[in-house]
Amino acid sequence: MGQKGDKKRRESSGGGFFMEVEGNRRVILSGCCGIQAYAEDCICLRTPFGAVTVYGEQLEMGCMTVDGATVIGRLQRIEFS
Amino acid sequence: MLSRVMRWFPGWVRVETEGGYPERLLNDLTAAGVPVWHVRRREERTRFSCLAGDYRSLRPLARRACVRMRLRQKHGFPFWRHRYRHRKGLLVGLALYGVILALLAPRIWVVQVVGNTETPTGDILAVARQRGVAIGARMDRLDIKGLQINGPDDLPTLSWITVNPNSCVARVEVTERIPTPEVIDLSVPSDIVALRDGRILRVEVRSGRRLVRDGEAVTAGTVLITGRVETDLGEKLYRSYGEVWAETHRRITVSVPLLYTRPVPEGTVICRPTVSFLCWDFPLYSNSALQGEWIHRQTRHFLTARDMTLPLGVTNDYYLPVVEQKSVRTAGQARVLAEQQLAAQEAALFAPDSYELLTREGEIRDGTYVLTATYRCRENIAAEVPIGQTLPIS
Repeated sequence: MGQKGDKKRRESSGGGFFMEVEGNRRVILSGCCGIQAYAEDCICLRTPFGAVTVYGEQLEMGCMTVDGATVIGRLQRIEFS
Repeated sequence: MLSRVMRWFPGWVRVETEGGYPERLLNDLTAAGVPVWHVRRREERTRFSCLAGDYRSLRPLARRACVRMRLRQKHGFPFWRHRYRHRKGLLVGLALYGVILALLAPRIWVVQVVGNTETPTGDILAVARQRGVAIGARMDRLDIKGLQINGPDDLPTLSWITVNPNSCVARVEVTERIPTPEVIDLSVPSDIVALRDGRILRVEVRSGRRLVRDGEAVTAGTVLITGRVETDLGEKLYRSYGEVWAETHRRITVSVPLLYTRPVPEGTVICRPTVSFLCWDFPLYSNSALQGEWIHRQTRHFLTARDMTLPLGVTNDYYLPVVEQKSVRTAGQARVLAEQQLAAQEAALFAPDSYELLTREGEIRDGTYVLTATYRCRENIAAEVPIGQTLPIS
């Protein structure tokens, strides 16, 4: 019962992927699967339901682990594809 | 901040990669469970940080991602230790610091006494020392209960004594006893007699019967207040108690010889330094005996902090050799000295504003300057003696 409930919650919230945006300075992505593209003004991360691309200036990956990543810099826009 | 400290101990490195597929390298690193941080891409170069221990596992992954990898910076304890590996003195100093800290931290460095006004501080320290409160003693071996229970017995002027240990300072706190009023024993019958000749000014009788009137002249030994009281049932004996104020005449004579001997410094001063640390003294001189007469002078140079004297310093004992030499005072010098001695005796004998100087005469007699002064005084001349006894005239 508990496992079914967890699975249901995960599916309804995007397959365990969460994103937290702190102003235009930081984005915390939890549950992402890896990096698709990495440039100075654009970082594209793979997620269970697609790709998330963060655009901005002086972008930097503050922390990157198997559980998630943090993008720091002057954020301009975030795209889901 | 915490993560920085946690990274500092295992050590961390800043890595720069160039060319190839840095995204693939980063994905492989996260898949392999290697945490990276501060990942920054600038043109063709990508920089990131990882733990020093994970650097070796980066090589095969970098080769697979076709990137050239270079170590840019090293931080943390392993690199710091490696940098200072040839400086053994640092390690010895660090170890010495730890040993000194472990040896000295649990000991008493300063003993403070607070709360005493009448009881001498030296007496309090002596009582406290019996219970382990002394410079250099271990703080955890203080017999605080014993001091609280037995301290007031050893020093009857105290009603409470305790010691509050505070890091390396032992603060001895005392409360002085308020003296209980004297209980007059009325069972022993007595008379009040005159202590010296005088003219009665005022008589305050609290117990007994008054025998003299105001203005009456009395001689030493005259009964002023008697304990023999006539009642309807016959004579009853009481203890006499009261004050008899009279005008008296007193004389003080001071003699100062004109010829005297005084010590005169001769020769060089000998300095004997002693280094003190906690309760240990280390004399820095040979223990040879000093010959002849000396004037001894001592100076102490101890470290201080926050108005507290620390138990580390030097005590210098100076010994100045002297010879006895006969000297002669002039009459003026003798007079000044005699006046100083007279003033000291006045302060010791008379209460302030209770006397009046009548005459003062100085003369040189047989090689001595003699200063004689007479006074008119107002004083209590009552002296209690048992009934039937006379006052011993001194």
